[in-house]
Amino acid sequence: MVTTALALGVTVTVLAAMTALGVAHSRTRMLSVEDYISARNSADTGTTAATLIASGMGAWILFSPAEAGAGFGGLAAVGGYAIGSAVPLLLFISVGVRLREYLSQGHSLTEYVYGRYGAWMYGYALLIAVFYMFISLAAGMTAAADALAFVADVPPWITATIIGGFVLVYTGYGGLVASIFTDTVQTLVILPLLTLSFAAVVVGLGGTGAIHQAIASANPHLLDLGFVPGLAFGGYVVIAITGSSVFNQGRWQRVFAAADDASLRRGFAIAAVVTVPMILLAGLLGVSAAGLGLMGDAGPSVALFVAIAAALPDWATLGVVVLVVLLVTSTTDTLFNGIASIVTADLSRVLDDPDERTLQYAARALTVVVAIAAIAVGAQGYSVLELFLLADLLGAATFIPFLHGLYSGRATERGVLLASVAGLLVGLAYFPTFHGALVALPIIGPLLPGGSFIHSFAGAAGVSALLSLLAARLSDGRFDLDSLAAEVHSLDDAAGPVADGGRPTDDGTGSEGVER
Amino acid sequence: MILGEVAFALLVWGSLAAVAVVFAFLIVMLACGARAETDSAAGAEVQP
Repeated sequence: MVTTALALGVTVTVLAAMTALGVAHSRTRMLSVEDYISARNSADTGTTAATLIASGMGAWILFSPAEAGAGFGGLAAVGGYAIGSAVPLLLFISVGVRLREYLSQGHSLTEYVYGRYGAWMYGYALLIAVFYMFISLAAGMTAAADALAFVADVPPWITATIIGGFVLVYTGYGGLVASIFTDTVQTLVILPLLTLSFAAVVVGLGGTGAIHQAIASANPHLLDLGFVPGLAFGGYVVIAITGSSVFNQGRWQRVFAAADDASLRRGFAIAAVVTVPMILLAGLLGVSAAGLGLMGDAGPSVALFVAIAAALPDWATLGVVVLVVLLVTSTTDTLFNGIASIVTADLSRVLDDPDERTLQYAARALTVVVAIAAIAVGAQGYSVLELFLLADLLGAATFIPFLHGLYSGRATERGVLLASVAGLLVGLAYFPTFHGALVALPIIGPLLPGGSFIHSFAGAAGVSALLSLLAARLSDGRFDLDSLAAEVHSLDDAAGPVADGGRPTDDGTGSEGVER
Repeated sequence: MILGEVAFALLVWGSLAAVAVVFAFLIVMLACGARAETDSAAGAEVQP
């Protein structure tokens, strides 16, 4: 095990480098509110792919796929996890192009839902989005804190504070522009580092032949592609990840940040293509750790770290520290800016014609508030798994009705809201986490079916989809999707941003300097 | 269906190779994007 001081030194060095890069890059750009929360049409194919890879690949990749492989069903579960992570990216190719067509000046998912459906569905979607993103943020912080505690005994509150503090500096300063730039750098380090680490662990464990032989003799079900519990896990993960990803504002921001539709299509496709093997590899190491009998008393969530510890020398742990820091940093900056951007975009509607400077201050203040809350929760080391599953269920029960309105003028607010709530109730009826409490309820309790995640998530998505389609069929409404464009507008002042980072003068002809 | 030894090896090394290929492709895309941005900035400077 590396010393705590050394791990902290490496962590601070990596974070300081990212912060310097993020701030330096933002200083060279003119930063209007639009740049801060949407960076509209600025990311070419490579940048779009890189920012999606980094912002989507959090510290969870070191825990969850390996846990799925070691604890929930071997290869079948890992395969489902890999597909489940790629599906939402592919879904966003179609959704993203339509969003850019109908909401060319859009910033957030809440603008779409308010314009398309109205206040009630807006409130419901806002609740899901903020809940999901904040839980993701807290889970990411907690995962990083757990990882550094596991490999170097770093106290969780120190990890959460320094990661949250550094990320706040560059995200608060440069917003989405800084986030996308640092994501690109992080991807260029994360991908080779993860790949080399995985390859070294496979070789260190004796190669694929030795690993396969050990697993086949001790736990052959881990290699069984038809293992039913593994398939069930993979099935519900596909629905859960797809549903919750739709409410990740970070993805919506990157839809609008793509330079054009072609960059969007190619960028999302590349990110989907690379996500599958990365998750397969992480999951296979979990399968290997369990199959080789390395787990001992350790829980399945640390299976990948167990495999690394068994295969690599102590000094290699420093590479894991760098990976953990980069992975959590890339998702944290996305979520800081994502949550702040949702509220900032809505402020322009709630406040009476706010000027650009007011919105800029609001966006930065919101980023600070989100960061402080995330650090506070992340430092506690709470297990947020149950809340995460609940957020996933909310997403699974809502994402199809939510997106239905982007493809059909017949979908109505009342129909999609009823479909979403009905889907959620079906999902909750099967939801294992709350099953004990629900069956204790009088009258309803004895009628409830047995708990199962696959039934819960498939039921939520299936029922909400069917009811949404049925409600649209019965509706007389004909929403004009082209009218969505009138619902959103640029947040910059009429004269627009100015090249020196200043704000327009009163006569609109020049600029006054403005400190950031 | 139990995955055989060869298929297991293909899955592991194939995944590693796939990531390496996508990474190389990504580098090329980023380099092209950076070059286009530089050319565009240079063009803007030349324009009056």
